Amino acid sequence: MLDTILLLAIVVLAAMAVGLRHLMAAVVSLAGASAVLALVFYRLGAPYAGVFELTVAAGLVTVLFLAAISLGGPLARTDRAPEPASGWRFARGPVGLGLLGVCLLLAGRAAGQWLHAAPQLAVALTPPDGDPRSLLWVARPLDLGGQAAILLAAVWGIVALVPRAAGQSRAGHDEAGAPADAGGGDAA
Amino acid sequence: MSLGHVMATVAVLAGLGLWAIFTQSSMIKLLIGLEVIARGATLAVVAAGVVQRQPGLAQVMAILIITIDAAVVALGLAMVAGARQHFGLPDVRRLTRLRG
Repeated sequence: MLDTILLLAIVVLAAMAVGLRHLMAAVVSLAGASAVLALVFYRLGAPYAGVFELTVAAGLVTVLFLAAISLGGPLARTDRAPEPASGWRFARGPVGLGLLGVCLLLAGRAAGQWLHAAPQLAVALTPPDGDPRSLLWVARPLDLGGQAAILLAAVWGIVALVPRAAGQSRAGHDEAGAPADAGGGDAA
Repeated sequence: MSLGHVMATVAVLAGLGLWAIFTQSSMIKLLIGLEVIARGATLAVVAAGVVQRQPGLAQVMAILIITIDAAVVALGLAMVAGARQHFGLPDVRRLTRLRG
């Protein structure tokens, strides 16, 4: 019963994160979904993943989102932008329902296959040492190297993007602080 | 906790994230949709590890996913900052041209 409530809470908080127009509330809802997901990880027997989910996903990522939204000023607090008059606005609902149906169908098939194949796979793939610490540092050093490379690439990308944006901010804003080309005439 | 409930949750999270990516124009909302999909993927990996009785390996994979996802979000938010400096509002409909 408690597990079902936790899973429902994840779905509701994720729906709020996607659907709310106020970005601050959306990010806080996403953090709540991550925190509940950390509880689910703990109950599934994955405490290390739960701790990482709680600290990195619910903590660090939320701080990054809130910093980006807060630094953007009042314009960035909501996602209200003028919408173009097109048929896409009216097709959003059916497209979303269709995507949800396809995902449910695929997940149902995957769950069915897992339930049939799980006993054999559990016997064949049981590792000699199931400790995540030894698995991470001894058995999977290549993954750690790839992760370090991705983190370095991300840092490089951020360093390349942010100072350039700041420099163009000084050149592209007038004294009142409004963007000089906010209308998007010279796109990029 | 039944596998069917977990997989249904994963499916709903993936559907919500895809819906956000396909329908929203705010770059921050796109990143939130990406995050929702990543949460579903992480839950699926951990559930798969539990079903196959490999919770250690599943936790390692989940930790890698979470860390790389944080790096992706940081890079995406840097792009949001750049777009905001250019256009005033991080709206993907205004990102129509690339310039080196």
